Amino acid sequence: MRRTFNGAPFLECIFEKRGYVHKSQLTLAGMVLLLAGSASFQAGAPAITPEMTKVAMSAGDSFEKLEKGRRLLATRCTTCHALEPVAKYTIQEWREIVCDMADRSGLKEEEQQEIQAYLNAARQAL
Amino acid sequence: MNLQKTTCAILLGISLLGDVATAGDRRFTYVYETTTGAKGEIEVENFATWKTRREGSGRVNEFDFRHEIEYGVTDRLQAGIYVADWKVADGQAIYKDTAVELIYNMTNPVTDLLGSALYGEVKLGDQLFKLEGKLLLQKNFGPIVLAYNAGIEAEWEGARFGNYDERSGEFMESFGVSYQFSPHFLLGGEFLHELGFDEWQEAGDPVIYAGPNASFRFDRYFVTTTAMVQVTAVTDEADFQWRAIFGMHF
Repeated sequence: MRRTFNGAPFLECIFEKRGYVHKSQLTLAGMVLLLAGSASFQAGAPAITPEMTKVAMSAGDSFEKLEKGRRLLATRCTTCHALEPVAKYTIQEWREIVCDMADRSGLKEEEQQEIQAYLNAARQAL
Repeated sequence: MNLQKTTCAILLGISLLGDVATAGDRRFTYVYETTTGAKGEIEVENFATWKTRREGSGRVNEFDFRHEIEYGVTDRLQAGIYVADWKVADGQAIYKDTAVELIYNMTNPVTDLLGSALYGEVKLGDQLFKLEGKLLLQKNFGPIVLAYNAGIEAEWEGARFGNYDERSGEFMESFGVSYQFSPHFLLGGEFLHELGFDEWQEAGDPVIYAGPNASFRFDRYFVTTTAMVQVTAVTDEADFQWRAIFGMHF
């Protein structure tokens, strides 16, 4: 079976008349994704709390450094794998993991320190 | 330099590049993810695709190969070059084309509500010229990753370079889901929908493929593979295809 169309209705042909893609289905799928998304991020990289900031300040790290570390953890590490719960490893184990994965994920020395500062604060504040 | 020497030179070059490569492990083989490599990062990936279809009382098999090098221009913009797309036919390696791709990451699939990226590709061969654009969407839910691509490509073909007398278009969409059982093993599925437009005048029959995929990650390399069957009944398209991507870093 061949389907014909003339120039301008090309997108209309795809999205509407022929029913290859239904806008309502896409909208529903998008809403489900949007609602469920933020929850998984909070579980993998907990938001920075006042307790975490206090721990970081006592170690000479800033809130901004924690923020950068959290963002790096959530963006660079998840390119390959899901985030592990912070509580799963000790601070020393996290240090070894970050060091071990730095080459693989292309982390610079400064970025490693930012991730480590965030993990230290998050782990101690548990 | 004949074709075999050229192919050997390309493969040698790629293997040497592996010394500086850090592979961004792929979860899918047909679906692109929205994340891009970090600035300055180089990735090397090798594709192998087998397609088979019935023709008369026998079967026609097609073996395609691709060698890709990707480079992180910025933390959001990634450039890639398909050094060579080639196929094996009658025991001979035949060069098909070379392509350049750009992926611009707009939002992150973990930190933002929905990850998104734009994909553009220009492909040039001795018998074809192709432009392709896609919208990439992705969402990570911990170990579960969902990704969706939709795009349009325009292709001009001819008997020789610069003399293209046929033109066609294609709308494609693909969807993938992957679950991480462990950091070393992921399992999921992929779905591919293609709709061709010969001479941009007529839409052909939609072709839909679906099948499982698996990704294995090791210390220095990864292998991701997908096997898909055609769930429609378009006889002049492959009824089965299998693809594997082998990435490595040293």
